[in-house]
Amino acid sequence: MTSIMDITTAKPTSNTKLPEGLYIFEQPFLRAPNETVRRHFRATQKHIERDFTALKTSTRELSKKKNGDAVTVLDSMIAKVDMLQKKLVDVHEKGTSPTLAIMRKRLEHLDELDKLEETELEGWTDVRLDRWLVDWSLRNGYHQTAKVVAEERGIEDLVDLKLFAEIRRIEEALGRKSCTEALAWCSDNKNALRKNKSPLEFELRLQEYIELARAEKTNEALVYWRKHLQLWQDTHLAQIQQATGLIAFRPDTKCKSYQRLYSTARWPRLIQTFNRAIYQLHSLPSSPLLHYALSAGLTALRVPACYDKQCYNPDCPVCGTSMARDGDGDMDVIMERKDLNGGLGVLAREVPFAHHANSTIVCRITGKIMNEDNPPLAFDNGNVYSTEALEDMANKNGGIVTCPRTKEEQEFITLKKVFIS
Amino acid sequence: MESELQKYEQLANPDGSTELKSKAPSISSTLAELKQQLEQSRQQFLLQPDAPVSQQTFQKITGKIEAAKAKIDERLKETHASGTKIAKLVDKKNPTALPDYPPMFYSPEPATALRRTVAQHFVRTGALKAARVFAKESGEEISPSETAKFEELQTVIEALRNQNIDPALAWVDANRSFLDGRQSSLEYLLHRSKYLRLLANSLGPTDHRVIAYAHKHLLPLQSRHPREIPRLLTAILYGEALTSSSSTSGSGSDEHASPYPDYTSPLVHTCLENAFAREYCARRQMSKDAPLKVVGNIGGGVALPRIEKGRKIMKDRKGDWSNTEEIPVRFSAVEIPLPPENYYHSIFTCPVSKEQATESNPPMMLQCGHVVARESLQKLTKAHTRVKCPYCPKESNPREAIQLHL
Repeated sequence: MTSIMDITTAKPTSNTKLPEGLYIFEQPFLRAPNETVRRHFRATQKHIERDFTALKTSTRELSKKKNGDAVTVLDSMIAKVDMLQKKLVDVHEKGTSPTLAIMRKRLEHLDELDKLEETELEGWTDVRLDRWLVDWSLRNGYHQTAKVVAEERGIEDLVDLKLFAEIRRIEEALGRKSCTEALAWCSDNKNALRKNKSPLEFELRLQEYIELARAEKTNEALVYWRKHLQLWQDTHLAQIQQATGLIAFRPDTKCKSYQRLYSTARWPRLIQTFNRAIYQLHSLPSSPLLHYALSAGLTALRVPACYDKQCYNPDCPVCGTSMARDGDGDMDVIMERKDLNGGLGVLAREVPFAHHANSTIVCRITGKIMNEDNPPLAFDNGNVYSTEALEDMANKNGGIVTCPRTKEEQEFITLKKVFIS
Repeated sequence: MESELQKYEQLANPDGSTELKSKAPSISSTLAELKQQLEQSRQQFLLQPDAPVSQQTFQKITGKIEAAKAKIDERLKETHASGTKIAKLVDKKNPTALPDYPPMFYSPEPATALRRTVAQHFVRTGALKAARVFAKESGEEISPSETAKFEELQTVIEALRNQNIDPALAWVDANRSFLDGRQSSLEYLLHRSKYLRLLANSLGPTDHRVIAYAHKHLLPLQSRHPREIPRLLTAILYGEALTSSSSTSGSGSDEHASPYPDYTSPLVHTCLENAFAREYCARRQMSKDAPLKVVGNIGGGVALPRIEKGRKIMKDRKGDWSNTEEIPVRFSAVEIPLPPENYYHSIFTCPVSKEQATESNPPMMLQCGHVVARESLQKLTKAHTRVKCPYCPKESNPREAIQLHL
């Protein structure tokens, strides 16, 4: 992850008319498919290395043979070349090429931003919200929902359905207490995981060892320990040492530290470790993008007035959905609101209030912000509205204004001018 | 980046074209060549099946395989170089990463609230299929009454788009007292649209259909709209000139050009959708815009970089005062600018204490009309009797200060 320093100093490379915050969210958008392209490249490399090693081994067999017997060896070598060719074409056609097409689509989508003014963003941000909802659904395991949203909105290329399908496959295997799939993924991404110092592979190996110990297969456990755990001694010595003792304890041991190793709670933690590793590898942030956006957005909107019943505003995303309004005598409305039981206002409790160095007074009648041209006026009861709204009311009612909150009437000319600096 | 992507696609393709400025041939052609060579050796073996494989042949085959591998490696190296270039371009396009935050909204209460918000979002943006699938997958209940509310809204909006104001008017009739309480001009806007449409298609000032419509629907609204209604009624005199713009009706007719250019703007009709949605949502105590959209647009726009800047300031400050205990963060460190439509509440920041007013520390208006927060008023008060306004010379009795409700 980039440091905070970079976030505050780096400038967007392209459209400077738009808020830079827009671009911060888009780093994973191109990076994730690019990582997939790289993975396909590694797969190609692997196929080639493996098959050429096999070819060389076959050649060695040739030297001791008669020509007639060597023909069968050559046949198998020719077949191997054919197979390799087929495998490489397969990786390209099913992997690299479609992923590059996705990158192109995403690049186009990102370039659209550069043509827009800040006021024309709505269509683009609507798509972005759908993308966030797909990302959120996928991370929460709502895969069908994600698929439907992506299809209905036609944004399949702009979301990472395939990547998450793989994540899900491995997660489900871990859920069945099988490390095989996750370990295969580790070996495909060995270098990157080492670079990120991910503890995933070690934890998976340790788990397999624990399972052997649980089954009281002591010999197998020892063999496994030598083969797969020993080599981690540089980085995980303490854990290895502890693990060594495990075979001396039965799964029903009362010893706390070994109880922890035998605990089944390790499995959900393995899933989390796996998630962290694969998200990091694909430059996906640790939390859903929607969470970032909501946390930042709510920080900008949450003000103390959101928690004051008198200030309730149904349009406000913080209090509009979080409070059942009472006292307006409208039963049908109250009944409807019961099932809401809090929306984004509940989330807003996790963020600080917005800082405002200056006052901003919003007219309760017109919703407009008041200023010198449209200054606030106060009723004797202290309720404040804009001059514009009250003047309009006075014109229609022969100079008499009625407070919409208390229904108290007063002459327009007796309203008091409020000075807010 | 597009050209680099194209280059990469060619390089990575085993069957990639040879016209490419690549030093190495495509992998497929290298493999085909190798295969051909192996097949040649095979033919030679068949000619003398009983002879042992000669050292020379053996070395030849080994050599060919190694040569092929070298060519392929060269190709892979070029591919990798192109890939690295793409990665650099990708990073340049979006140089900043999202900050690494601890998990947010994961405890049961906010998690449930978010699920509910998402379900409602699907419903109110018309993604009903997604809403159904989501309800099934998440166990989130979506009440039919919730869906019905938005179906009604959709139906009315659809009708308005088709120039049919009747469903909207029916709703106005059913919710008249609510709308009057809000001093809503929705009914006026609906009739204005219909009337102007009739006028545009009328036969002239004597068209009784138009006059009858104005009589029946516009005149009753006159008390509420004393200026607008007469203006609308006189527009009938202009007949066709109202709709024809001065440029199409020739140079001499400028004096007959309509003084009501606003009546021919398509806005008089298109504004109805928004106006209706606003009243409908207010009636149902729902926000005008989908909350997820409002918050998402702000959070995904100006907010995040500002918040990070604030965090940095706090961190630096904490570094200076490393021994002081951390005060729980109640207010964010920096101000995030909002568009006017996103101020949903009045915000009063006391000019004396610079603190935002709260229920327990409300704004108080002194007799001179200047406003400070109650705590500031108490601090400014001398000997419990007089307070001098910090903004003008006037002194007043603090007990006469009025609590404002903004």
